[in-house]
Amino acid sequence: MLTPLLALALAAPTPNPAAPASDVLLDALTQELARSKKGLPGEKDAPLYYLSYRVTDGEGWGSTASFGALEGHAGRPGKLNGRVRMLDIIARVGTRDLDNTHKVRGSFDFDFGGGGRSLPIEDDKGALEVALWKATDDAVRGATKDLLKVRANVSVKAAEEDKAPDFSTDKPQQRVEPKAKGLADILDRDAWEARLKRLSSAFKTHPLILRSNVSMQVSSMTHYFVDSEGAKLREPRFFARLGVWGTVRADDGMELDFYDAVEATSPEALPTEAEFEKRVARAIEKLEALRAAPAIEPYVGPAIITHRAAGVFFHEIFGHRIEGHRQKDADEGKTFTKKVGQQIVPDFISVTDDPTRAKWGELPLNGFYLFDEEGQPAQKVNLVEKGVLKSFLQSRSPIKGFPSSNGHGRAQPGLKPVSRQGNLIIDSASQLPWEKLRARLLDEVKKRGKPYGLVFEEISGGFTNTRAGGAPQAFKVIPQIVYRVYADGRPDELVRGVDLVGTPIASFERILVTGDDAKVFNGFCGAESGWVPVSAIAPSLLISDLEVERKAKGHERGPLLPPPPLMDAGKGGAK
Amino acid sequence: MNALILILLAGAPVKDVDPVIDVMEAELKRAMTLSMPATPDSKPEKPYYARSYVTVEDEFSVAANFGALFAPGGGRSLSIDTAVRVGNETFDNTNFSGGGFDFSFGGRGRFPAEEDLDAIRRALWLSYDSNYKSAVEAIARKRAFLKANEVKELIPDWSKVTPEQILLPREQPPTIDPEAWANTVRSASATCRASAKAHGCTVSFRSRFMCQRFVASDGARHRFCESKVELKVNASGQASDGMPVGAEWTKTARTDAELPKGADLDAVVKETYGLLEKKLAAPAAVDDYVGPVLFTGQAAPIFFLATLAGPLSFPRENLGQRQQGRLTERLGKHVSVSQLQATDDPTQKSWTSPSGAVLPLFGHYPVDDDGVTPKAITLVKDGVLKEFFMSRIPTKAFSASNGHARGSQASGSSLFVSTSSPQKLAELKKKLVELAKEEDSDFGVMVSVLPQTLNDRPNGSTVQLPNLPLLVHRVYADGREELVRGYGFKPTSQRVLKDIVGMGDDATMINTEQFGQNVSAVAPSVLVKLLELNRARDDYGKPPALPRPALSAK
Repeated sequence: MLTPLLALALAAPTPNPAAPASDVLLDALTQELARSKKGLPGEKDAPLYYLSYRVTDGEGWGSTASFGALEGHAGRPGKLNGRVRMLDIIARVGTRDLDNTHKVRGSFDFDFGGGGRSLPIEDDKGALEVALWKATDDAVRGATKDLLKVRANVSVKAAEEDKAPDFSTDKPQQRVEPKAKGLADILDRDAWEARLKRLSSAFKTHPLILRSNVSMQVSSMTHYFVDSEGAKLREPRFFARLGVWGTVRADDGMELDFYDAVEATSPEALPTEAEFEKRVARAIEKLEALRAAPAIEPYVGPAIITHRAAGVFFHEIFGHRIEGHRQKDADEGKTFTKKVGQQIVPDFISVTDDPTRAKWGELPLNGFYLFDEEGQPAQKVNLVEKGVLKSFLQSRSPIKGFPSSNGHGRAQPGLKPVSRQGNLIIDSASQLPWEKLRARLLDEVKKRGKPYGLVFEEISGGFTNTRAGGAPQAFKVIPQIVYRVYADGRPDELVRGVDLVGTPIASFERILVTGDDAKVFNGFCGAESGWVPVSAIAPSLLISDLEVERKAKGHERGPLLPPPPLMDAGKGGAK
Repeated sequence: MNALILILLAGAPVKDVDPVIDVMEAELKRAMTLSMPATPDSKPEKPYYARSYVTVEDEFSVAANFGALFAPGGGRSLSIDTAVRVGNETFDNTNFSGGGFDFSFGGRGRFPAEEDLDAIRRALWLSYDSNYKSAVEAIARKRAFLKANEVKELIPDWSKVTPEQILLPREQPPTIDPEAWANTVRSASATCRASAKAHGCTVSFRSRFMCQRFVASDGARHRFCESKVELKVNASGQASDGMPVGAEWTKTARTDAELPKGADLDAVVKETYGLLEKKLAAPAAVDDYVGPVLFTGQAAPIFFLATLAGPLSFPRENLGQRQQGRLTERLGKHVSVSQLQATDDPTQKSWTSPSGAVLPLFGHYPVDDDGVTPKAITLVKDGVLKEFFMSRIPTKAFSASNGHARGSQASGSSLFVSTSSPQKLAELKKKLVELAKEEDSDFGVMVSVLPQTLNDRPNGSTVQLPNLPLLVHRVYADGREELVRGYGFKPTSQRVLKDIVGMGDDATMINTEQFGQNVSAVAPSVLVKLLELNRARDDYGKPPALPRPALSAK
């Protein structure tokens, strides 16, 4: 459990002499917040006790090229194209014990936040203040209405199991980092688009790959946060992702995808064109191999989930279930709510979530940040020590026994923060080098009298259901590359159409041993507070019993005609 | 040097070379060979008609509020659209939506954003493939429907036309200076800072240039380009009773040189927020109103787009989905008062106002979306319905197109409404008050601005005027005109055209959009004997608790 002392120590404001004195946006936010807090006391029985402004300000763009040409939009008239300035307001009325954000039980009102508002992108203090004024008035009015609903709901429903307050008392943070750099100053978009076009041309000579693209998303944003408790934060964040995607259709109609991407948290960390060319070539090779591979048959038996795939596996079946707010939501399955202090995974496994960690070796981690979207400092959280559950990921929504945030309140612009993962790190005290791990897999296969075991090499993502009632508390990860490893020494065989299914706790118990090969999966995680960048770091896992099913087959037949010939006939295409 | 080149070019006619049309033709030729392998229960369905569009669009938009810019947008994009018909003209896969749900969640990929021939051809290949498969499925479902249901009269699905080739020059997008327009909207919207009442004041500019190419299997081809620029001013506020109030001004033109800038634009902004302030101070409608309504200015052409052009659009209904009481069924009968005359003419490029100003008509197009040359048509003559909008999709009354295919079905272009008994506006106002008296009201209602929301598909005999009217006055017997806010129209019926009791000797033109298509309308003021209006709502949210932050001049 995270001690309050440690939290306070981490929370100490850091002096930042480099910050420039003048920032019109920050001034407008601070002053309008103060004026609103003072002038908008709220209704008599619904006082406004907390107000925050979160602004995401900067530039972003995304470009995609397919078969040598840009897709979607090309050409960007004007210097300011791609500028974004988005405002999110949280107004809390009532008291910390019961406020307007309290979950209304049995309601079909989905409220994921105000949706965010666009602010003027120019530093015109008056115009910014007018926009803030109107948005604040709307937010406080909405909060007052919501509190009436909350009070009515609390009075008519049975008492709640978790009586923790709605809002934590955490120390406000102040830190003003330099603003994010303009994208045009650090990346040449035209040059990158030319690269994307060249890279995507490689697919032209592979007519069986029906659709494909090479894409890049970049953003350089300054994150502002001010609140009525005195928080004042400014943090720059850069993010880029270069991806390659393709899809093929097997002869039986099954559509198969392959996606590979490189993430970068600084422009320097982006791969060169030659480096990425190799990934494109690999994607083409994998897609063509997948198209020709045999379809999997349902299977239960030993399997290895390799490092990056194991990261996704943990993210889905474990990570989402230790997000704090799910522990007090009556509609949630609460797999681990009452298991603090109990063993939940084999005792050689420990798990932390550490968003303060910027890199793993040389590789930048997607889940790194200084402050979360509630203005709290990112903190390393020991979730599982030697197999025993110790803590949860906490936003400022307290739960029984965990009154404070540990800096995991995260959200994309436009949505309300909830507790989310950052960098989930799985550590193992029982490791084997790859060859031994593979040999152990074959031992297990033989012991069980199975003809083969499975090795999951790549996973594109997954989803999980953490809710109670209705659909089972299951998870699904989407493997891209899976091999059959035969006990009789036949060469490994690529199979297609594999879906990994199962229930969470059972899967953990079946981890026999891990590899010594921890690697990083960088990606984006989507949940009720939107898409946030995350990383999962894990070694390969040997699991005694893993259940797979065959992915639903598409009904569509492949194209009836061969692909059209290319303009430059020398490059290939249909004959 | 330049002159010399021009002369040389003019002297030797050059064959039009358009590599995009070439790949469209090549892929169309292949599409016509599409064939699903025959099965024991079905013979292979072959396409008898196919066509494609490749449309390139260049857009730019920028807006500012109280002198500060919002993020601008725009760029170049391409859209590719194909259609495949299987069966024959008498019976094919279209005009039927029963027997299944066509849900498509992407999957077809995005379109190239550049005129890259390989990428365009690939997109056409996949699009034809997908549409052909859907067509084969649809015709099978349609046959099954006919087996199970008694259909009295089967109308053919497609009409034959003489294919036309209209290849207009490939124009370059107009030069728009993004920085100059950013400066213009910033500076103009800063004028609003002088208004203490406005909560928002936006000036926005948008330019759109599109070039469309069309190739069909019956030999029709076309290519034309079109440019549209738009400047808008929107001022908004909240009255003391909580009602949101707005005032707006819009101008559309072919080139940005025709739009006001500098002091002229500042004057427009000033006038717009001035009107907002007047509306904020105006009384709200406290009672429902039943009585005569006079539509003047911009509200008159919008009135006719909603009550006449709208109901005469989309004349062909899908098999098994017939609506009762549509205006299109009244062909050859009186649908309005005898003085009303209405034509629709997509061939007109401009209109000269009574004051002599020559204004562009955005309802103009050189060729319609089926590749047919448009024709002027008479909709209403002396109150009798003569014709309605037709594409190549036949209806019970008409088998041939009149060049009004806009998107997937037929709708209007440039509507011209006139009267054989014009009256002075003053006479109409006098009559308005007299008729109001008969309804026990001491004032008549005059509407001068209507919102331009014209997307309600024909719905039997019901007609809904665009809500809420933006500029409404009460006109009293002593000639006093009192600005009022909050009235809204209740749904009415097609009878509203028969309830017209007077039309003006004036004419107002508007360029707007109806069903997502550019349209124009010209009409005189019109007085309707009886309409029902709702009073203002009484449950608006309170105005902001804090005063608006002060704005100093820029």
